[in-house]
Amino acid sequence: MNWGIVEQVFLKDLQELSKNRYVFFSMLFLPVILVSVTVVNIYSAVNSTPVSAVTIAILISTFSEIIILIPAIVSVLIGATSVVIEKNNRSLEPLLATPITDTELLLGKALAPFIPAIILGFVAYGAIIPVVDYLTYPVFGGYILPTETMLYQMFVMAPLVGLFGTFVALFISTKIKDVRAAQQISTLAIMPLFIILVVGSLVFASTFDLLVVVTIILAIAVLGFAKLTIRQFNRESILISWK
Amino acid sequence: MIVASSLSRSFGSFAAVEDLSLTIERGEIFGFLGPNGAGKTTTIRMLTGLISPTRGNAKVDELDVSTLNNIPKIHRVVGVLPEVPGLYENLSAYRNLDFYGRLYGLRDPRLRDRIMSLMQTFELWERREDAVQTFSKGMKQKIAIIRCLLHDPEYLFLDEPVSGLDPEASKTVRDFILELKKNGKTVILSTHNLDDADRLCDRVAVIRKKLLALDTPRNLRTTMFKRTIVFHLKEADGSILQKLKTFPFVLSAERSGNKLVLDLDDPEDDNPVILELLVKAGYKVQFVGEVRHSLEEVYLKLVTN
Repeated sequence: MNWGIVEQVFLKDLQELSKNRYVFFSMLFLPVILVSVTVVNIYSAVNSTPVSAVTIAILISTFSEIIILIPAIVSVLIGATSVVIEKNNRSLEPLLATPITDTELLLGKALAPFIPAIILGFVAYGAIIPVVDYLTYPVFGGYILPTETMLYQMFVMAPLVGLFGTFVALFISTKIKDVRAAQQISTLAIMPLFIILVVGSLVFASTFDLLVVVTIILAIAVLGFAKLTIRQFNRESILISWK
Repeated sequence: MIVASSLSRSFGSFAAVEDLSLTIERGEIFGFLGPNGAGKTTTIRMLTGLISPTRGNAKVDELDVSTLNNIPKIHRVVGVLPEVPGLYENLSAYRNLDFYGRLYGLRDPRLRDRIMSLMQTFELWERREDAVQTFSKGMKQKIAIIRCLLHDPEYLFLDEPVSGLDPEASKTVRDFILELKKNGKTVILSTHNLDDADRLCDRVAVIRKKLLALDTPRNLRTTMFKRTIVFHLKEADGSILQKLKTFPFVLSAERSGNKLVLDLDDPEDDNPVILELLVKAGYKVQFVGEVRHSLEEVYLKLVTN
């Protein structure tokens, strides 16, 4: 494994994405909206009369779950684009004619959506924690974030969700030639995850046990899609069947 | 040296290449000729280890293309120009080349010098920071050619290298190919441009799924066609034809206006005899020339048969 080659594919993909305004702004738009909605809702709850500490706690828990979706959606946006762009440019043949191995190509292609997705997820959590603590300090008489659950969500679930989105997008984009279609189908494919997380948090108020169950389901799904994607990422499949 | 033995590739029940055996010597310019769908691209893909053969094998410098561990080693000694340039349209020309150079393990300042030298050769250095999407088809083709030369490979596989280039740029590429040969590089061309193949290639392989012929363009011409000599006379009539046809070395004789067109066994020996006969019969011979059959005629004869 030559990590220098993996790094080059990763950097080239990021550079290409930064030139694609549609993807670049979509990628930034989602965290900004989700963080803003969270802050506005918490602000409204804090300033409502009478102030309900339980309502605020539920809101924080729900939005904390929703923020996890940032890595999933961002990785889908980027992952689907990076493969489809290669197909549309017909740049895979010259790329495969270099000393790159199939594994190095797959890793480079997977890191390009995964790393920005995770960074944006962390940035979103990093923005919410001090603001929410500041807003809710008068209600709780202390700083309530980050909770253990939130730390688990940030450091265990968010990376898994990012990986899930990455492999879903890579797998689906190997079958499709249009960027928007790949993104839309990949987003549809991660919808069950969205439902599990949001409905779960609303119905069961995000108990730690539920998060562990979701983590296990997620890990199985990640492994499944990773396996499917790896099968697609060999040079024969790429050259012969990626149309 | 590249050696292919009974190389075959099928896609499901469709056989794209069957039983192809050939050797490409180091330092030669070798051409693959054939109609669309003849298996030229599939053959190049197999010879460069991009896809594996379903039967038979191929070796590049003794490295078997079917062995997965050999592929990165093979790709260090081959450069491939695909049919479509396949560049990153949003990135600059320099960044495209920089990316590929780094995949081949080149680093600055050597990489920068190499890119600069090649871009200057192809007169693109001034446009290095421009996005490839602003380039013409010919300029993109030049960038793609530079890309496959970056790591100074021993073997160059060029699929339609002058496609989309204007006559001046085509000449630059042709001259560059000849320069590569002078430097001991092996160039494998796949082309529809038979004139280019005739001018550039030491040997050509005409394929249509199978190997139809393999030889130098000159030998292909002489084996496929008899040698035809044209005698231009001041005035000609048909009466001399009967006499000419009595010679055993005259394979055929026709008159076309004031020209006598003869297929001869061995023109070097036969021409003086014919000339003597014509002069004795009172014909005024203005000049004599040999009809040079083009590679296109050879190709069409092979492919249509």
